[in-house]
Amino acid sequence: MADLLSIISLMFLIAAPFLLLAKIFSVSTAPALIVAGLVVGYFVEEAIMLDIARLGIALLVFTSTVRLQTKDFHTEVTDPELAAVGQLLAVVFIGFSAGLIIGYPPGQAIFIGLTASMSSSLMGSTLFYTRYMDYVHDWLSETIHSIQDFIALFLLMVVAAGTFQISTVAEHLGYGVILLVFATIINRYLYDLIGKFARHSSEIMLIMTVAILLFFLGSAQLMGTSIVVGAFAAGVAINYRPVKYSEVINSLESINDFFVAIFFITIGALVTMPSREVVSLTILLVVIAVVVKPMVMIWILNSKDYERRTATLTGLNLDQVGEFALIFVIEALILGLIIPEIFEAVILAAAITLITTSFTRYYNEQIFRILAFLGLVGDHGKKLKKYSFVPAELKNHIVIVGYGDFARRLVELCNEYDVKYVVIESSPWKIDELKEKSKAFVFGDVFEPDTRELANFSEADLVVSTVDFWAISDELVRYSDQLKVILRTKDRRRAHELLDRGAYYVAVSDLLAADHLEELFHSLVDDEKDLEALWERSAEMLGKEV
Amino acid sequence: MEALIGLIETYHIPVELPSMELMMAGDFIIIIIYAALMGLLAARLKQPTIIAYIITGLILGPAVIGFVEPGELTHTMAELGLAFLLFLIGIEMRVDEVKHILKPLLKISVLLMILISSIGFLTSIGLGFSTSEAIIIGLAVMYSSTAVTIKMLNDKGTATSLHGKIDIGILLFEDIVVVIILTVLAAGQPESVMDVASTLGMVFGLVSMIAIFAAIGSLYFLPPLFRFIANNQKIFFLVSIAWFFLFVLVSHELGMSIEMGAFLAGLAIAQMPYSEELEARVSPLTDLFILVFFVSVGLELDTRALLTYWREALIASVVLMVAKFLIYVILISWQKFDPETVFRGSINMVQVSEFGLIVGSVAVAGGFVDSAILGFLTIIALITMSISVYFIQYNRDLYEFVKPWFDRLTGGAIEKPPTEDLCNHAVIVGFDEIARRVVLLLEDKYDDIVVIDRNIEEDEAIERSGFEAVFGDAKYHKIRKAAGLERADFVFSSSDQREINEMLVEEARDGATVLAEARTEKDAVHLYKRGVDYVVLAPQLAADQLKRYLTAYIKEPVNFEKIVEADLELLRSDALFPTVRPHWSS
Repeated sequence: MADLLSIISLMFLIAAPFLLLAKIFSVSTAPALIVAGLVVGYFVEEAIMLDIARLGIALLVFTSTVRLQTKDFHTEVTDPELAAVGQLLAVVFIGFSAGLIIGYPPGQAIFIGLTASMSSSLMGSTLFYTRYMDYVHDWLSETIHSIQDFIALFLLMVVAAGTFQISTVAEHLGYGVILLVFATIINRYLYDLIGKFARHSSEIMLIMTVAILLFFLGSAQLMGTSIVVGAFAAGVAINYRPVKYSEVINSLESINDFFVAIFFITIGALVTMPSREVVSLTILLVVIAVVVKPMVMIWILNSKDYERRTATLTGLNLDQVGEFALIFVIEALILGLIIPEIFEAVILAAAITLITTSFTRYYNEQIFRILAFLGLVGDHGKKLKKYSFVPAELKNHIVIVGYGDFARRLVELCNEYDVKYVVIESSPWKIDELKEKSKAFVFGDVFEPDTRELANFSEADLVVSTVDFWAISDELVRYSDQLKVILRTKDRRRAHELLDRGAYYVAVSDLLAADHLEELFHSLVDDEKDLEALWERSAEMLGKEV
Repeated sequence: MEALIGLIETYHIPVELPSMELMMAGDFIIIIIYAALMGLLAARLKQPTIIAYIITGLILGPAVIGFVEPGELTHTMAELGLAFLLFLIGIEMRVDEVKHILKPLLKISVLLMILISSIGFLTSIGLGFSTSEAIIIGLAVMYSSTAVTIKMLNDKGTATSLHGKIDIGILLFEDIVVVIILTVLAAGQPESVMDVASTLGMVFGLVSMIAIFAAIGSLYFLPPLFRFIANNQKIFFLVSIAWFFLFVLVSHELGMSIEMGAFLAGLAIAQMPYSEELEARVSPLTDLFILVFFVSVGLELDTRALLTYWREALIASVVLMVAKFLIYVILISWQKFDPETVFRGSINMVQVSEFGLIVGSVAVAGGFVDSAILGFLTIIALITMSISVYFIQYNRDLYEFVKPWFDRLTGGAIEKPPTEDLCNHAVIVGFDEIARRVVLLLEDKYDDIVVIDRNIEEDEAIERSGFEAVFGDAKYHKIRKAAGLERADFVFSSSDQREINEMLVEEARDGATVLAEARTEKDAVHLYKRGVDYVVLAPQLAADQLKRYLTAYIKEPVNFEKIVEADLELLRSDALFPTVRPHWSS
């Protein structure tokens, strides 16, 4: 058996207990693997691991690229783009300055700033990405992550040039462009042709996809540029594919998980016993990522009219040193651009912040309340008055919390029966629609006393929360001794709890839908007419597109 | 760190060629790209990919252009490929799938392997090989190819037919034998008969030890472990891989074949509900690594090794194919299966397996035979596999052609036993409240309802309620297959992932009713266009329903509490399938 096989075996064996710890503490796998790598480093000192870890780097970049491409960029909303770039610049500047102050030359200090600024979209995808971003702060963070990934990829290409001389950088960008053009050709024309030729055999398409990735890695190497550039181009070549290729994409996931795990473990294994310099640098990076970065984001979003709660929760979603920083420093180190101390500090900082981010995510509401209490996250009242409109006599009314599909119907209903109501919503981009369609509206966060006061909670007849968000339900159910509270939640278990705590009624979406469906659909299979009638109803609802 | 600095020092090249250090091994890149292209060609010609990979190795290796010298990465991947393949085979050993025909299959398999290896041995002696070479050849040619047969049967959708099951069952027994033989061969060349006996004894002892460890793990350690991690797909996958590596490492340290360890690691998982999902997750890694293995088989052969015995290989191929077919026919009909099953079950299995090559290369490594024997086996495998593919493809037509005299020969028709597969059943994907309600509505209409769900506690509760449950993510083909999707009459998906619903509607048979959930109207429109019969826009339905409640509240606030009474009871219920219905349905 080759040595390498023993090493890989050992890596996974050592990683297993750390993965179990990650499961117990609901931490993502990346930090668990890096920490496992610290242990592996004691047993194994083989450079050969890097060989296989490289495939991990390539796959990481590759899958990030595929993910970037599949995202719909909302071009009409520029806030996240602005916030992403703003935060990046600010954090790079702060990190750079801090580096200079503690005595690093500019060429090294810039890496402190850059790595501290790169958050982890991989982390996001395990902690809070869902298919549909229901909450403003999650949607904002995901978009910001994507944009920062994109910037990180670009910067990696620059670093790959191994120098900051403009001409060399330009040359490498040129290579990147050549590869990208070729990738686009594969994407548009070749991949489908290959698929047809292979009779859509998923085994062959999987191997072919890996081969395309390796082809681009090989080409990048021949051009003397980084494999990161090659992996990025390969990601463009594969892109999102119709359903007939989803088996391939799913299969790629296993290969990805395997090599990326090896990459994280290797990264951890490369850290030796940290010196005092490394420790202090690590602390600096952690402070920048965990404290400074979220504060910068809070400040930016506050100034863009977002609620301070939204701003804080978004900031907390970004409080880590991400996987791109790791790729970044490993490339830079091998190219001789940074000193080993910075390399080690970034890895340790990533391991630490990737763990703490799970906890700040879990306790984000509590953290927000503390920060708000300390007055660190800005004021609330200003925007409330600016956008809200509430009629003078608002009594015995219905308070509708949130403005989505549920709330739209309720607003229509209230308008129809001429019932008094007020909507509470905190997303700035819904203001225009609310101005047009609702009779009363409070722009604000239902957690804030001012908001509730303006909506005249104390004299309301009924509060209906249309938001399926536990923190909000948890907050609103406290009022059930003063007024009737209808809440929304995901499952029966939680609904049961809320009812026990005094909720008037709890809407569980799936149950409501099931009731409705059952009623519509008594003879689920037998009756062709039944299906047809449903179909027509559906067509009516969806317009003429069907 | 030191290692890294060492690496930098070794490779450090000035700025002009900056990132040459971060290089992937070149041989690995060339192998994958070339194999992929050859694989593409094979897929086009409906040939098994193994053939393409071996030929890739032959072309790249010293036999033809001598372009690639495998490095350590390639070497490791080849070893991993073999280990992963055995792990996968272990995971796939689900005894209950072939339980009802296990006994006749055991009888058939034992005799079969004895007879075919004898014929292989005698043929080799006849062709002028030495006794020890003939023994290795005999041991190498007795298996039929799992990769070719199972893959072709799957592609044709006949893996669950009776003849398919017979073939798969026999292949399972052959797999077990090959694992034992590999273990013995890995122990190295014996010096005397005593040595053989003691080697066998020791191998048996060690294997039993590992097997006992695996069994204990499977009974006491793995069930709580997997239950704990099952809902996190990534951790579940990585920890399973760690379990695999545990056995690989231990077998290696004990000086045994890592394949045996890998196989036992898989077997320990096979009887658990997680095996199907794990199979889906491990297959792609196996596909990738086994490619490297077969390429490296080809890479090991130079022109001399490959061509020394090419005439003998041609003769042996013909003899073996005919002999295999006849022996299969005799043995399967001996166990009183019907003529069509006998014919199709036999014609599928006439090739020499990739395991022949594995046995061959392990024997070469152990110093039992010269690499020319591996060349001989490679040619036989290439010939028999590529021809048998067409036999499998057209086995039905061939049977129709020979039916008149074949039926007479095998003693006429015996009644086919009914198959035990799910058919005309309902498949439910995911298990939200809507799916539960649908299950209740379907209960009277369908004898079998299968629920696919990734929550093991729910799966158990579903089974306790008398339905079937498949643990796994419906995005994997293997999971959909395990639920018998292609034979279902009714499909309901409570997943709102559009891709999954598209796959479901695509794979469901014509005439099946497919209902699926969607989150947005755009997705709904898309699904209708793909042929979903009814799309449940759950959020909209729920919103409509809530509107009704609120209308009731606005119109008659006093009656509201009465209206929601049943609802509140429903919300407070802990039952898996609550039978309380809201006000509106009464």
